[in-house]
Amino acid sequence: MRKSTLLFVFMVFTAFSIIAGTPDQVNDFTLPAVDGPEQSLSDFTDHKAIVVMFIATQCPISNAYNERMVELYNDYEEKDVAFIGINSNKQEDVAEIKKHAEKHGFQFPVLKDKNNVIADRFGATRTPEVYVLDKEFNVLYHGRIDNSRQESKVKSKDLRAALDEVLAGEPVSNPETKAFGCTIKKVDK
Amino acid sequence: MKKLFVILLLVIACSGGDQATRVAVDTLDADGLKKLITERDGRVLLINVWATWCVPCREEFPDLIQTAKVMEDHPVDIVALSADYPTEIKDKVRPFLKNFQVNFPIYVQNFDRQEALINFLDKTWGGALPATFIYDEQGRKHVSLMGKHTSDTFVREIFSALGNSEQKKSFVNFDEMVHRPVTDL
Repeated sequence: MRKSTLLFVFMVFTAFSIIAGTPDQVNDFTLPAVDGPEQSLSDFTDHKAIVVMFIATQCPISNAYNERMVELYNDYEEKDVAFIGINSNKQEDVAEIKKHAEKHGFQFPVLKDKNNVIADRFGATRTPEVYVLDKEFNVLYHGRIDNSRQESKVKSKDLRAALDEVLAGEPVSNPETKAFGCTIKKVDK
Repeated sequence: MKKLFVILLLVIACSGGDQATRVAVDTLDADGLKKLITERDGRVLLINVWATWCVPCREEFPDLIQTAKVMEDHPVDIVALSADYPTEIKDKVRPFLKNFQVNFPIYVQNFDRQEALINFLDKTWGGALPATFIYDEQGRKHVSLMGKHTSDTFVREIFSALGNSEQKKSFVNFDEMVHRPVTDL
C-alpha cells in the first residue's frame, strides 16, 4: 500500500515536472496562418534554426517588441533562420491578428493556435515568449527576446546571443531566461 | 472679493486632489523582499505581482482591496509589488492607484535583474502577470497563484495558509463573510 502510494506520488511529480518545465523537444504541428494556408513546423526544417515566438495583439509588452521582432527577422532570415509567430490568446481572432501583423510589417508567418493546443505543448505561458529549435525540433533556447521592454534599457540581447551561438555551431550558453510578460489567455480545459 | 473666492476654491480643490492622489509607494529590492518574506512574526503574507501595463492585473486590483478589507482584523499582510520600473512611479503607478482607496502597501520592484525576482518568488514561474504568492506565518511558501483571481480565492488560500489557527476556527460562516459587501465590513 505504501509502495503504491509512493509510486503514485512519484508519477504525479514526474508528470508535473514535464508539464511545468521547458520541453527538451517538441513534436511537429500544423496551424493555420492568418494570411494564408496551414503551415507545419516541418515546413521549416531546411533552415539552420527555427524561432517560434508566442505573441499577442493586445499585450503592451508583446507590442513593445514588434519592431525588435521585425529587426530580428531582417537580421537572421538571411542567415537561414526561420521565424514563426504564434498567437494563442483566445480573445484575439484571426482578422485582428492579420491586421496587427500587416500594421507592424511582420514578414514571418503568424499562426493562430486555437484552443492554445500548441502553447500547452511548448509550456508557453506569456507573451512574448520565444523558443529556438533545431531541425529535429530540439529546444535550444527558451525565454525572452532581451531583458527589457524599454529598448533603451536593454543590456542583454538573449535571443540574438542564442542564435549567434547556434549558427556558430556552439551550445547555447544561457538556454533559459525569464521576463515579465502578459499571461496567454487560454481556454478552460 | 469674487476673485479671492475663486482663488480660495482653486486652492482647496488642488489641495484636496493632492491628498487623494498621495499613495505611499516604495521600491523593493532583493534584500527588502527577502526580509518581507522571512520576517513574518506570526503573520501570513500575500504578495501580488502586477504592473500598470497588465490589463488582468488592473482588473484584479479591486479584489485585492476586497481581500484586505475582509482580512483586516486577522494576522495577514497583503502587499502589491509592481513590475513597473521605479522611474514609472510618478507617471504610471501613482495615476493608476489614485483610482482606488488602497488599503495595503504598494511596492515597485527595484531588482538589478527582474529575472532574479521571478526566480526568487517561484522558480517554475515564467514571469506572466498577474501572479500571487502566499506565505505562511513562518515564511514558507503556501501557494503560487498564476493569472487573475478573485477575492474568494485569495481569502480561501489565506485561511488555508493560516492552517488550524484559532483565527480560522473562529469563522463559522466563511462564505457569508467573504461575500459580504465591502461597505458592511
